Amino acid sequence: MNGDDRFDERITRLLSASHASANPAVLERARARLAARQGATGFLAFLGRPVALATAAGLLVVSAAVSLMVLRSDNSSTATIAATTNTSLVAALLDDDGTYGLPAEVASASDGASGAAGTSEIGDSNGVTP
Amino acid sequence: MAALGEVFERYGDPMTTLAASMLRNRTEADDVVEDALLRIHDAAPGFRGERGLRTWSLRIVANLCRDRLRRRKFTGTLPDEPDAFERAGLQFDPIADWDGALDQRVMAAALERAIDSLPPDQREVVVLRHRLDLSHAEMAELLNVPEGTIKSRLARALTVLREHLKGMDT
Repeated sequence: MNGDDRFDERITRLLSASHASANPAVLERARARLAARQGATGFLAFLGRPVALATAAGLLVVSAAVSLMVLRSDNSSTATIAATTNTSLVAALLDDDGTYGLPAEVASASDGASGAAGTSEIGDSNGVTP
Repeated sequence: MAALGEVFERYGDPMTTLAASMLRNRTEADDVVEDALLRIHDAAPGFRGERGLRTWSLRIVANLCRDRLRRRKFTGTLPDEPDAFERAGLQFDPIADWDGALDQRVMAAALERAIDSLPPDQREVVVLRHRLDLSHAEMAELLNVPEGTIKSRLARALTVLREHLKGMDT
């Protein structure tokens, strides 16, 4: 055996003299993780049971019915508001006070302008301008 | 779950030795062994025993270690500490018939530092061959590479180790 071989043998022996012992806590942690995972799987199994499915279907029907009711009441109230707004707008526009629904000052100013442009008959007919 | 306890009882030490020697950090090594146990538990129904249980368990640990080392490239390496054994969580059993002229503990610590400097693929084969006493064929199966590759990696690794320890030779 030459020097190199002896040296290699020493290295080999030193390498095999070092080791690590397993930590028992590692097994406990692994078991705890497995147990936690199995707990989660149990909950999923519960969700798959017929009673749970029936409950879920019932809840779906109830929530759909409630949603429909809410939507219907919402539609009717929207229609009422729209109808009221339209009526008051038409009434204001058709009101024969010469303002066409505008404030009086704005209406008179616009009439003055239109008179200057040679449409005095309209203004006269409305009795706004003398 | 009882079977998991048996696997740990039989192969917990080699699994921990491989992880600690590869990662050079005991906390990380324990995490890897824990993850490996879960994988063994999950894959056990499909295990047909064509490979030995020991080789299979060590293969899982080796793969997890490689993943960690790859990730460590991006997260930074561990700081250098004087006691390579302490950091790696390894124990050194004094050798009875040792040449008294050499301090085996000092030489073993220098060897651990030299192992630290090896690339992971070389470190892996050194640990599997000389620390866990696997044959070339078992290592080839475990690492999924030809035996020739195993032999050349081992030869390169031993050259590096020899270089590191040259000054300590008598």
